[in-house]
Amino acid sequence: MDDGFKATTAHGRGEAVVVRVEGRLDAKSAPRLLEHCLAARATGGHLVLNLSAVSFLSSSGVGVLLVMAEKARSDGGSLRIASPSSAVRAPLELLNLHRFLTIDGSEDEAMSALGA
Amino acid sequence: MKPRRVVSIRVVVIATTTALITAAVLSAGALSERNARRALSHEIETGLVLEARNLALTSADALLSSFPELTLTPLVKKMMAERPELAFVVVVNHRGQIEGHPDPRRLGEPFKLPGDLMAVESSMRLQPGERLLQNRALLIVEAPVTHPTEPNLGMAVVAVERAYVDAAVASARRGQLVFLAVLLVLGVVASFVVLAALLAPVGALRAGLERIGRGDLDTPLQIGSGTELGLLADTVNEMAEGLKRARAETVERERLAHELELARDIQRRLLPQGRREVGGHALVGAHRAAAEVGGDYYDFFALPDGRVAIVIADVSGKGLAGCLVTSMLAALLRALHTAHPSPTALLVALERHLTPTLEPGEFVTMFYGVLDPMQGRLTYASAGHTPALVWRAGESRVEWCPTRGIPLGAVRGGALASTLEDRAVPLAVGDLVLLFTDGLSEAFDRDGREMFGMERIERTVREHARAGPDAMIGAVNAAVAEWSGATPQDDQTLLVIARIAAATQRVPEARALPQADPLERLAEAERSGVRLELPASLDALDALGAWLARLPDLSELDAAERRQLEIALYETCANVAEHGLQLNSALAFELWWVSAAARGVARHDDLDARVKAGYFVLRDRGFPFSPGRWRPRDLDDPRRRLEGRGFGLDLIHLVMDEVLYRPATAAGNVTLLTFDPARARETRKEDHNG
Repeated sequence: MDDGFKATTAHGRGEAVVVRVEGRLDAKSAPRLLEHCLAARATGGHLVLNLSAVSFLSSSGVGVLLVMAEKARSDGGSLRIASPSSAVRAPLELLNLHRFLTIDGSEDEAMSALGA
Repeated sequence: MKPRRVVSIRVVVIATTTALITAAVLSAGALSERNARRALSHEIETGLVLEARNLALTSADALLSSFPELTLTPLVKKMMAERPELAFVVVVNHRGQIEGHPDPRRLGEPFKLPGDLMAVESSMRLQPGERLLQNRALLIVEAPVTHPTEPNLGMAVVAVERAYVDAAVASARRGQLVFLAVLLVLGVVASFVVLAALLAPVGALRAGLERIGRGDLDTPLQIGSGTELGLLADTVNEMAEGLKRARAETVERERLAHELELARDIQRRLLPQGRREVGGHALVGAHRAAAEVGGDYYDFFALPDGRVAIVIADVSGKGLAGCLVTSMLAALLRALHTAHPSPTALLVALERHLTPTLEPGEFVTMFYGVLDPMQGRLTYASAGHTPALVWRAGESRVEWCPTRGIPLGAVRGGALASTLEDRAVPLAVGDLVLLFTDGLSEAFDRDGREMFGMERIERTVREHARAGPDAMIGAVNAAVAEWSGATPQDDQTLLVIARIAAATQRVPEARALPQADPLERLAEAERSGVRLELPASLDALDALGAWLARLPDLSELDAAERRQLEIALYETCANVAEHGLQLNSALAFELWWVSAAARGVARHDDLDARVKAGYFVLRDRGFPFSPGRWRPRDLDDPRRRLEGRGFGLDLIHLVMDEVLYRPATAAGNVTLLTFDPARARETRKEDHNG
């Protein structure tokens, strides 16, 4: 299934895990991202989602961001969204959700905010 | 219970065993006695015969001598002395005269045997001439005295008292009886000990069952018996465990039933009764309680300045917990409403006081409005509550008033204030505002497949609004009850604010869009639209972006606007593909774009021709489904957030100017999306400022 979607886990520093996402994050790929993220931070800690290369974000994708934010928060971690593309910003802003998610300009900013 | 005569198993079993052992021992004793008697008699008879033979042998020489009595008398005397059991010993010559007798005076007398003698049947082999005789008193042996020269010399006669034989037998019997008695006692004692050990658990079992009967289910029976009684005890223990569980369940059920009754009672007291009229306005509420009491609440009360406060709320918790939050809410509302003239300010203050009592994940959607009867104006703010419906009697039109407010308590830390705003709805005579809770719009049909939905509410209002608020409430309630069955799954609350008479002249309302007819638009799209056919597969939706980019009428959109449009279309198409066509890629659906230019702008000055606005039409022939409703509160329900669903409709409504869905028409299910980039641009601007 080649739809351009790809999620890769980069080793973060300290307790943080960085997941870089590329391509369309829609109803089809959202479950895969959720699984990927759950596995990536199976041991807890902070999760930084680099969404700079996401070309399309649907409501299902928004759902995954909220689920991960909620999950991370519930076990003492956090979710930071790093350098979201305009395709990511658009639906988040439409839904007023950008205020309830932590968004950083870049992956480095996110990492330094985590003190890692 | 009648006391009953109890016979102990132990007594019965031991008595039976003892009786059996006794019978066995006694019959064995009787048998052995008979044998002993026979053996003893035989022994005595044998002894007597030998005695007689012996005497006959020793008498032979004496009888041949001249004076046999000289030899025989001492011999006979000696025999009598040695064997006291002998009744008599006599030696008789061939003439029948006594030749040897203990009493010398009897010598020479003829010897005569007692008359009533009978021969004894004996197992002994007697020699010729020998006789074994008996009568009632005596046992007698006759042995012939012989000599080689003189075959018939006489007789030796020896007798023994039968009493001696009986005494010997009796003595033997006594010994045997003692033996049997000892055997019997040993047998009974042994059986008693064994049975007592085996049956000991019966008492413990009985005690345990009595304990269970008294209600003590916590003390298990401790029976280590390896017999069936041990198994029985295990079964009894299992039974006690089962009873314990059943009892706990009963207690829990009763507790829940009690809680439910309490919750119902609280809810009943909180809700106002009947209708109210104030300054040409009627306020009517209706409430149907769910089996499990929900957290619906509504109320209306007069404010000091003559205005009327109207509130409808839905607490996310159910049962007693939900009810307690509701009563807290009611109390806070009454305490706070005079201090905050603006609905937004009141909701913010309410949340501040309410949040500490909410459990994590618990929240309240609430619509709070203030009706000015003189002005005919309702000013409201809505914290994530289901949109209010406004019926415009003049144009026979329905308006929805969605909100961007988030529910009370959903996002901690004061986020609420920034999402709320006061809005005003002017009401003309005949207009009405319908408020309801999601128990109504989300009432599932009897199969649990489809929700009642906003569409049906709107349709029912259209059909019945002219009949007045009471009739309309009745009609909506009836329609929902028919849809979902008698007892609702969730509380269903309806509240209508109707302007029934003019108190003052109303300021006329500004803009009114003509109601679009999706079927007309579909026909128009088939004639003059740009068509795209897509299989019902999520893969196919990737093509939407490229298709949009090729639409010449939309070339003036900037990248952000195009992106928004793509998202909204994606969500709409995904809904159709997923829910309507079940992602069966063998099925397809159609999408048209009809630009204002293609329709002839002159006739449609309601659309902004400058930016070439138009509309999209989708047509599928799949299952008609309820698109649900649009409200942003989904994101504040942790469960919804964990499902990661429910934002699609938000995206569609936020981007599109108007969204109309007509399921199950002759032409299929038709979705009409009116797109007005000017409005979308405005929305984005609001967001950035917000």
